[in-house]
Amino acid sequence: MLIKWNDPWTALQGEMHSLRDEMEKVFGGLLSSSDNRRHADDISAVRILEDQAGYVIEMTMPGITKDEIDLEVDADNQLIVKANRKRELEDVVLHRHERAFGDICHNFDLPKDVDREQIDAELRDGLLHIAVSKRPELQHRSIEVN
Amino acid sequence: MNKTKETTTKTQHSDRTNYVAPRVDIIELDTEFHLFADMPGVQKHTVELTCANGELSISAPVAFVHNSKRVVLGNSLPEGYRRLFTVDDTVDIERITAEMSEGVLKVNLPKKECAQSRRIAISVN
Repeated sequence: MLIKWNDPWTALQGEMHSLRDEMEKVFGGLLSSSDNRRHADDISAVRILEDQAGYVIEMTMPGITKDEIDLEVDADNQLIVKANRKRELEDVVLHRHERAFGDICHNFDLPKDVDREQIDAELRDGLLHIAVSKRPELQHRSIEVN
Repeated sequence: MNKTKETTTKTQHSDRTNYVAPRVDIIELDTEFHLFADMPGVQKHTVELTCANGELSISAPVAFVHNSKRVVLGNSLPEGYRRLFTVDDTVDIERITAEMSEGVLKVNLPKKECAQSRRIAISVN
């Protein structure tokens, strides 16, 4: 049911639409809605995790430095991640070619429980971690009984 | 990075059953081959790169973070990456080097002198 890390996009394309509808109902909005998703997933795969404090969006960004990544939240509360992966060398003899290059664009509709001012991003070893905190008043908290 | 060495036991690689093959590009230049392997999530110092008996072996675990969190969308990261390549006689094994940055491992495989193409000047009398 879930998107596999290294699977080719085409194998899952048919399932995606019904999957999306299901996921929308359950998770209320934190889903990628990229237009050029096919290309993006070949280059950069996405995973979303959640705990009480917030969400973490993890995406692979092999061969990309932090200066090459464009990350923003727009007025509609959409988180947009853009990058472009270029080949290391052009015009060379290729014996094997499996890696994908080109534009990466991931869009995420941030759900209402998110604090858009509390977004941190870190690029480490080709993985981009975007931590999105939930609004403090909506975080789980324990109340002591006197 | 490791150069030519015999394979030794490494406890961190003891269970490689869930390792996946990284995507690679192999290009050929006049004097060497370059092998690029995409291994996002791998820390440089954990990569095991060995060459023995005509076989180049790449193996690396993925550094796990966010273990306590629930996955909302997507599958788990692979536990690690592993792939084997046959290296033939044209490669000078003693001079293989490697570097890694941004989750991409780049292995330089120099060709032996005799395997390099070279232009031969024709003298005109």
